[in-house]
Amino acid sequence: MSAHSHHDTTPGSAVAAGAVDPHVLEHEIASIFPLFTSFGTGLFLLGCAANWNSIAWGKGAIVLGLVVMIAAMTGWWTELVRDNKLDETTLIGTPEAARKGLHVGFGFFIGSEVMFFAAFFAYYFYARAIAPTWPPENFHLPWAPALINTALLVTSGFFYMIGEHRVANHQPKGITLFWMSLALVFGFVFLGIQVIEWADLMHEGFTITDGAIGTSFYLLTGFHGLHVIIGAIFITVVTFRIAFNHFTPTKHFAMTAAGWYWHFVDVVWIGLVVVLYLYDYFRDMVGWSKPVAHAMSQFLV
Amino acid sequence: MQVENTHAATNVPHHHDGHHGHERHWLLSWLMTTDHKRIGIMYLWTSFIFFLIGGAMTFVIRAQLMSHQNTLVSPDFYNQMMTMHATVMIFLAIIPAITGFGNLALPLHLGARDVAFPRLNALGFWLVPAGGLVVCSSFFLGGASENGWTAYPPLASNQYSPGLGVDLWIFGLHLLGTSSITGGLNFIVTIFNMRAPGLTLHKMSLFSWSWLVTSWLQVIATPVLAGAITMLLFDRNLGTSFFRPENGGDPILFQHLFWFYSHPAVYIMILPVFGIVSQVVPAFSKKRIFGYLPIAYSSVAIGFFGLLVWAHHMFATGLSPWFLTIFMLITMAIAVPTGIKIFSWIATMWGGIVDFTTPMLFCIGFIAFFTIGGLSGIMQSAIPFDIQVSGTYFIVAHIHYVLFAGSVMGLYAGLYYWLPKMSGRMYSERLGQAHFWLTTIFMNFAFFPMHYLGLQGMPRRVAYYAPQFEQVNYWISISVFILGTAQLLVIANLIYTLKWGKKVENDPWNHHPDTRTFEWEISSPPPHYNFETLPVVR
Repeated sequence: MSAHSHHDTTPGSAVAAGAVDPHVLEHEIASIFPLFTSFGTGLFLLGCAANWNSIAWGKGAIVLGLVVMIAAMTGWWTELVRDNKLDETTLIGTPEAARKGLHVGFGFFIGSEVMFFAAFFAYYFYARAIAPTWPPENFHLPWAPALINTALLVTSGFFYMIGEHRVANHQPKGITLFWMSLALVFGFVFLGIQVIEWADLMHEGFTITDGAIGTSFYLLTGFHGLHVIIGAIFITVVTFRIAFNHFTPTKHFAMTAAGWYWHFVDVVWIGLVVVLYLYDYFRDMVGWSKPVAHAMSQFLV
Repeated sequence: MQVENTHAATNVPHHHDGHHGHERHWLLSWLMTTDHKRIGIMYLWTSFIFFLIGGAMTFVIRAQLMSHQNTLVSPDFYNQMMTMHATVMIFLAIIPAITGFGNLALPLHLGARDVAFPRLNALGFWLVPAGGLVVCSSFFLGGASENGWTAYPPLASNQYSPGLGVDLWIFGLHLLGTSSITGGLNFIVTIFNMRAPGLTLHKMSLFSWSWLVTSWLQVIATPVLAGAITMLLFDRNLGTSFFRPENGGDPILFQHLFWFYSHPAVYIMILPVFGIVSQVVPAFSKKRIFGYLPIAYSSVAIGFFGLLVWAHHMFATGLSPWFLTIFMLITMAIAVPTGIKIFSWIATMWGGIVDFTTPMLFCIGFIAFFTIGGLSGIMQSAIPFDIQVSGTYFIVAHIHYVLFAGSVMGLYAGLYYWLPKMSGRMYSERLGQAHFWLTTIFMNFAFFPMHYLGLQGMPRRVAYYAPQFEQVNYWISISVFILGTAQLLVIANLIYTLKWGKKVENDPWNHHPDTRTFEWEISSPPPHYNFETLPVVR
């Protein structure tokens, strides 16, 4: 058959492949939570805008929006866990096919997150290319907390991998939970150190309003920190699900996804440390950096 | 004959409610649905409502422009109207409409029972009305954004645009952008993962191909817009200096990031429409599509190069000439894959038995008049010419030839093509053709003279203009009023269809077997599970 004709629809080409139980055809995956998630988020954002513009009901809208959002997300996740337990063929296919789709989909989701960070990194490179001096005179970010945090996050990712390996090999869950908790604790210590670093810098008078360096530092570390928080919530859920025996060696997509997310957060952090902290220390040792920076500034301006 | 040839769903018992076994109030069943066809229909209704709202704004705009120093509305309100007209039409009318058709037809074309992530799909839909409400609520909270849909700083900074308008515009776009990303994700996985057995990529419909490219663009480019408007939001409210030159930032950066999304966005708005045309033209020429693979891969080329041309929106910003020259050349190169499509559609009609029904008429109108927009696009891709017409009505003429003569006409082709499939009833061909002719004639009366106005130097986005342009503007306004009113024929036709339309069988268009996609082999409207047994392609 020619590749150019779409579908061979001659009679008899349909065989019994893909035939499923009639009750699967009758069942619709229905959920009210997408609606509530959307309007809850809308209300929350409306409240933020109102609050920033000193409108009295802004705070109320923020609180109400958050309540609706959290309730809807909880409901949604509960439905997902329930479906996962049922583990049955639905309109979107067998559980195996659905899991394969989740893997691909989560990969693209992380891809979209990479593009979101790319916008902020683009800003950073742009700002330093057009700056007369970078970093500003007598300005140095303390590198010690950054390096400690790198070690924490990488180690946490490693612990997570141990946990995942144990789930995949059906090893006793007590020790798995230990490694998972350790991964989680390291994530929280990372956040704690980040908060202390911010507090110290602000105490010294370095804030988000301090020009391009303040903007890049607080926004890059802030958005990264936000993703660490999301990752930590995800890992918390996964840890509880391990405790409740939700996963089997072949069926633990949530664990895989949380792991991918955690490693992604890790990689972004390493990129961030390299450009924000380390690059300026080693800049003078690298002969090509000045001509490259010069060429970039010519290119942009 | 097609009816006898069908293999899917012929032996399926018919369900009166068509979606599920247990009873649920009809309203709740719509609010909770994850059926891709129902979600598609909700997308289409939402986008049509916003299309009418955005259209109503043009009435205000054109009424103001009927005389050169009209005092009908204040300049502030005029600016709100022109900003929100573009925002509503792009983000709340055209993009939801293409997503609506994607939802309706894509799983059917792939031989799937639903999209890969049905709940996420519902989220993607509900984010549209939520985002629309957030954007439009600004009218009641001190006035909408007045910055144009591009929201360039420093005009969009809190210094020059204080108040809620821009903040709500940004938050609304966050919601709509999230909808776009989730939709794109869903369609990519649906295409990669849920094709019927034997339906290889090189056998799937060209509509599916167009969505494959579009969904990649949505996932890659939309987060960058989210980043850009987040930076703007923080500059406005948190004192950051992303786009503030006095503090080490640069407003030009906003343009880079904004157009990194917003240029691909025009392909997001046109590629699925190319896909619709690639289905409808062969269907009504009773002939296999000419150049299947070239059309499929020209979409890939358009998507790829589309990500690399954003700075052609910035020719007048004083960037270095060699940087802009690269963008000029890549932009011109995009004419090649687009031309491949245009010639392939014409070659498909050539020698075919062309059936001039409403969807086919809209396709022919699309091919003819979208090409005018494409050609003025090539003109603008030349830097010296573009610098002359930047910020004039020439740009307005171009964008309306690609988005109205292009996207909207192609979407109407899709609407009339799939309406019998969605509703199970045939629309009124007479009303449909009246709609086509009024739209085509008055669209050209409305937008073609704008080329002339632009070349004569009339600036866009201003409530007043030089007196010598008054006569042309007057007649443009009259044409727009007729064009806008003619769109009400769609509502009339929908009412006719749902109330009196003739019931249709599986394939009311009698597709040639080479052009018949799976949706025409199942009942109209399809059962909620689409296929009792999945179709198999050999």
